[in-house]
Amino acid sequence: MFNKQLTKSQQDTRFAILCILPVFLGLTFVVFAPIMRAIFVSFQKYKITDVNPPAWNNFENYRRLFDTGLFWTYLGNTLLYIVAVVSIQVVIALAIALLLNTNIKGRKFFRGLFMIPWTIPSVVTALLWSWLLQPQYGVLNYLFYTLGLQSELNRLWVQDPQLSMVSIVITSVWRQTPYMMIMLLAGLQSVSKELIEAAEIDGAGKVKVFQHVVIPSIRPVLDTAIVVAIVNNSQMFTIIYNMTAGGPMNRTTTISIAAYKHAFISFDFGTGSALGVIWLVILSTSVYFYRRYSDKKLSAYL
Amino acid sequence: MKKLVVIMVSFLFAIVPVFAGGNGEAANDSGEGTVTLRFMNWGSAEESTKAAFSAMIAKFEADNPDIKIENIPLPFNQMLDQLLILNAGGTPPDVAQLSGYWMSAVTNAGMLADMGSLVPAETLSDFYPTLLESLTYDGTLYALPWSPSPVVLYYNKELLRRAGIENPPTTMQELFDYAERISALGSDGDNNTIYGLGIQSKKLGNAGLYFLPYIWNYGGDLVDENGNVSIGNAGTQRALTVAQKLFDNNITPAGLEIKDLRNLFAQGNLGFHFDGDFGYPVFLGLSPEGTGFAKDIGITQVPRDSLSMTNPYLEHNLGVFAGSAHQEAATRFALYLSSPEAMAIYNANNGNKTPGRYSVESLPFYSNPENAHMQIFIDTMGVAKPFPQKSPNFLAAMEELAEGIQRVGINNEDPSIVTSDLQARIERIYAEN
Repeated sequence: MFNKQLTKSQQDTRFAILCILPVFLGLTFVVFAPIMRAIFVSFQKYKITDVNPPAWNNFENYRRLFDTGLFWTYLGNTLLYIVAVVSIQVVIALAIALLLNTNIKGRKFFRGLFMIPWTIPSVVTALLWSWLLQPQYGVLNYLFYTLGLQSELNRLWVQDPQLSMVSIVITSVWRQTPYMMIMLLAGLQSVSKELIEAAEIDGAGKVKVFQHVVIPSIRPVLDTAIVVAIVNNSQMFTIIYNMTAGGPMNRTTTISIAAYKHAFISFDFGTGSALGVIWLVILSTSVYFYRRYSDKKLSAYL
Repeated sequence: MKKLVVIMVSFLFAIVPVFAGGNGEAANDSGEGTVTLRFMNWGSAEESTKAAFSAMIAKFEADNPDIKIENIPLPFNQMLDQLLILNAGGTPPDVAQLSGYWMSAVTNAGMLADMGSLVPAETLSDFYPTLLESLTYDGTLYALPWSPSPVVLYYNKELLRRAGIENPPTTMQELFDYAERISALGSDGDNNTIYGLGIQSKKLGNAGLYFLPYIWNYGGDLVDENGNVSIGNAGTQRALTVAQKLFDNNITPAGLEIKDLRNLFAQGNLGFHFDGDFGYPVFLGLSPEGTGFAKDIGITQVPRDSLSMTNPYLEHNLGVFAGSAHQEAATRFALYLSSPEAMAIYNANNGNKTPGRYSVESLPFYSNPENAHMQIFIDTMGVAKPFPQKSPNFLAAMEELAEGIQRVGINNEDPSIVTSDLQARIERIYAEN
């Protein structure tokens, strides 16, 4: 099976390709083929409530999205959601990871405790927070009212145009921070202690050590964690749909929610696919340029 | 050798998910001469009705040993999506429980069989003509009426007594005045706010649907007699203005959907609530008093300022699918479900099903003094009209109306601007088909 006339390096390459090939074939069927199909459908008038077969309509689905101006609302909500969740997540996850990287008592116990939100399914998380934020019976309203933090007992959260995005951001951060925390903790534990000691000997304070030694050392892990968080949150559907269904008044309708609504509420698969394709292009381009920027920064440090 | 093992294991890991989907085809014959019918419904997924559905199916199978029913329960919110997807995928069920305002979507998708050709005319004459008419599209009858549900006004007798109100309202203005008086009661013993009237304001089609009676009361409608969108009328604006006042004064709780309002009513914190006949057992199930709450529930027709305004009704129907290989057997099952025999079982297990056939009216259940409240539902059907649901975009239009309610009730926008926006948006939606 392995031609002994090939060099060792060539043999290893062939072996690697053979290992990857089955997975690649599987991904082709379950990922790439549906993406290609979605791109094709995005150029069709395809409504499943229409007894007529789908018909090619060029860029009509795309044109309609931009004509109504709704696309910019969806894009704005998506970007706001991603920036808010990822930035808050990074700060909180890093803070907890730094704490757990010290020799505090019960470190293992706290590590397990902080992981609990990550183990709860997203739909259960959404229902849990919906009940916590329920205007009439929610515990948080009762708590804040009793502590004098709000003047009204039945404050709207997910139903309020100003607070609905805040509600889903809080919920998403609560659920996703543990995952980022574990990644950053792993990165912190690989930071060279000699480098830190050398910096301290040179007179660097804790802040300078953190800024010029720790952060550059964990940069690859941090970048990966941020990219993963951006991609995950750009697809976020479960928490948003189960808490607000994109409302009130489209204030929390992100591109993924909008695509679902077009496809399964209006039964317009063409427009739903068009939204998905636009977002695919935006996200792929953003991640590509972010990685290039990040690699340049990393080279500068190294 | 090790490399070969690694490659084979990688292949197995990769290939398994591809075959995990299965073939999606359910067996339709369970034995020689026996037919299996796939029956999709939400009744079997809901606590208050699943016993009734199980009992009806068991009886049918006992009386028809040549037919087996594969019961497929699905939550109400997922039913329409799943039906459309199954139909698009070529695997529709044989029979399904359908909601009235889905009919335009399912008939437009060509999903349903022509019941006029499957059911004898003599049998069809037993169904209420107005119900048959609402299920007829371009001269073809696409489903069988099962259980119409007139929208009625539920009221809490105890709250009315405490507010000094002797009789339920008969006009919309009385309704709003009484709601204000009930709201003035403040809160209950546990510091929970008491509200006067429930108006749904979550962006779901249901919210728009239940708001139509207010628009009708002020002379407006979704479409005119020629089928043109006419929602941007004075009736809509007036209804939205009144709703805004109710939300602003906290007479109506904001941001809630029907299940939240049912909960509030069952807890005794809501004076007036619009719902169908299916609301009644739900209140009893949710109330801390259980069936004891029945003594506090009053039911009356939807108040109206003008006698020319009619009452809306919702309906649950039974559709036989055009893609079914057993349409004759499926029709037998659908006719059984709407028959007096099945309705007797339905009422015995759940109660409060308004008849859709003349032969069902004579069941002892309806003449039992303990079920006197059923007469309100039956009388209301006499003055009821269906929602204007024949456009395939009706659901999308109701979602827009629901957003309009949010804009005036939660965002405090000008009702005149919201009304003209509704006209433009719904016109655009209707023009897309």
